[in-house]
Amino acid sequence: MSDTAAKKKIRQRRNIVRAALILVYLGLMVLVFVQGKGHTILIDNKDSGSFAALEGVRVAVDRQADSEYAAGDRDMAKVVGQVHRVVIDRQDGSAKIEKTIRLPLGADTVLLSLPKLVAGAEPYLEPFQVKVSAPATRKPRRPKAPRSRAPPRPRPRPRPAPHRRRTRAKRSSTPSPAGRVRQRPTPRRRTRPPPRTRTGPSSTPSRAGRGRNPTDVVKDPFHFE
Amino acid sequence: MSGGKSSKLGRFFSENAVVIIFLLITVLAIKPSGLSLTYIGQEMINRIGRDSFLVLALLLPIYAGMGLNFGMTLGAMSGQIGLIFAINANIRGVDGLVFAALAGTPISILMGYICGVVLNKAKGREMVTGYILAFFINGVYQFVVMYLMGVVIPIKNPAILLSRGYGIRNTLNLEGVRQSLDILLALKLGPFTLPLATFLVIAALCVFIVWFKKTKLGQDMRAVGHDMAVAEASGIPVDRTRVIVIIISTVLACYGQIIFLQNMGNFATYNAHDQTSFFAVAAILVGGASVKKATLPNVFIGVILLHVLFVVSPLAGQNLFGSAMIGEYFRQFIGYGVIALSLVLYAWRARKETERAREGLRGGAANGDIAVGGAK
Repeated sequence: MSDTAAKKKIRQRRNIVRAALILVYLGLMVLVFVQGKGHTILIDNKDSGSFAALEGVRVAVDRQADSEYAAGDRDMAKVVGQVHRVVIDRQDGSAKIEKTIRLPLGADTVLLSLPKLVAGAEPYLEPFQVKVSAPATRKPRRPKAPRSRAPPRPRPRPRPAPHRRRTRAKRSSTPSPAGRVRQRPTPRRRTRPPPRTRTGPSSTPSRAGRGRNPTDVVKDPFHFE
Repeated sequence: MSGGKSSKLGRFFSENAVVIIFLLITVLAIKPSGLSLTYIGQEMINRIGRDSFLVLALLLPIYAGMGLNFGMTLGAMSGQIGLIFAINANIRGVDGLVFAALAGTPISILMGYICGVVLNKAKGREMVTGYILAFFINGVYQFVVMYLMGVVIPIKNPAILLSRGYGIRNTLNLEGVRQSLDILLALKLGPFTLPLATFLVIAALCVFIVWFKKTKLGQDMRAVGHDMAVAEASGIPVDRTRVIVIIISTVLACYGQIIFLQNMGNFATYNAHDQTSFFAVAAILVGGASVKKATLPNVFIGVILLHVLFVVSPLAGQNLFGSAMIGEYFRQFIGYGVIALSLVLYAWRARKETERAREGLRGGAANGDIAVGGAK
């Protein structure tokens, strides 16, 4: 075999090895992505169409601690991976219901309807959109008037202080070495009006008149739609 | 005889001046801090796991004679970008860390290549060049994270995106990956909890470094560190070797930053990497390393000493002077001071050895005790 052919073969083999390494690298990334992807399951025990909410059930996802759901309750479980086991205990002496659910890879948050899951009706899983509430926008400022190109007028010179102050301070009985003691008049205190306490739902519109009740403070940056 | 002993003692002190000074300050600060030894021990265990990987990333450039790699900040930025991608994809646990490492590796390789090429243009002034290069790349990082992420680079997670629609928030919560490596194999040993998985990763890196030194590339690296001209004359591709060493160091810094941040649990997007190289360099110097010589024990001694001081100094400052801020200032002062002292001592020692070698050539002190500077 000629020298050039051998070099070509080596180069070819090297390229194959490099391509394989890149593929392995990408494959590893995909594997880690699929395996470690976190999801939030909103476990929903509400009436869903013709399926009535379950009364007093205990639900556990995978090996997490179970929690009790009354009719109309909704809670969430954070899980990693796509396939999970949901155990539902109806607490009426009947056998526990075990279901395996497969979460869609693209959905970060899914809504799991317990009544549908127990009845075996599809779709018991629905993707759930989470929206971050936008921060309250300020009132837009009025645009400033364009500056005139005329030269700025000179500022009026400050007037000289009056010879005698209107509010006389009490002179101290022991004069200072300089002979003059000025006492500052006690500054006026700003008193705040006492906070208004509300006893019932306010009927007045909110500050900016945006129709938002002041009590509706969103503590969590997320609110569910 | 006694003169020989005293000169040996003097040499020992001059060689280990930084460690001795630091040890004294630390031991003196423990008592006034009022902290129990158990608490300090647990803190040290945590901090060894947190910082050692980053400090180990400095070893290879020292072996290659490139000094302290202040350019490791580039690797730290790559690790942070990897973590941003992991949070964006909502990948949790150790998988999130692996994903961050996999995403950060290509970026850190590119950064390391750029750094290596630049440092090859500035032979002999690698440290200051690396430091300034880190500032430059910091600007690029800020541009990418502040303006391109969300517009050019798709970021879907609203929790990390600024409300304006592009740019990453100032502080990121690493809730999904927080201490996932530390608690993976947590071992309870008496009053202490050991993050065994983190220690295993650090041990693997130590083994890698020892193995790497014995390979052909590792031998080339040491030859380059010893004398570049001789290495070039003997057919070693000096520039290529230096670039490879910097790439490895940058990639290790990327992984080190990921380990560091998972331990912390959150990070400041725009300035978490600022002090990375500074504290890693301070730690290795406190451990007794110099610009030309460093060993594995230097890393661990340095991390322990520096962090004991970090733990005790604010409380010692609080108890002695009534203000914890004095301890904080002291901490900063010590960090910078150690680097300055070490560099000054290195320069002073190098000059002394040159003088001694010159005297030896003249026949004044030809006792075969001439130390030759070089990487060990």
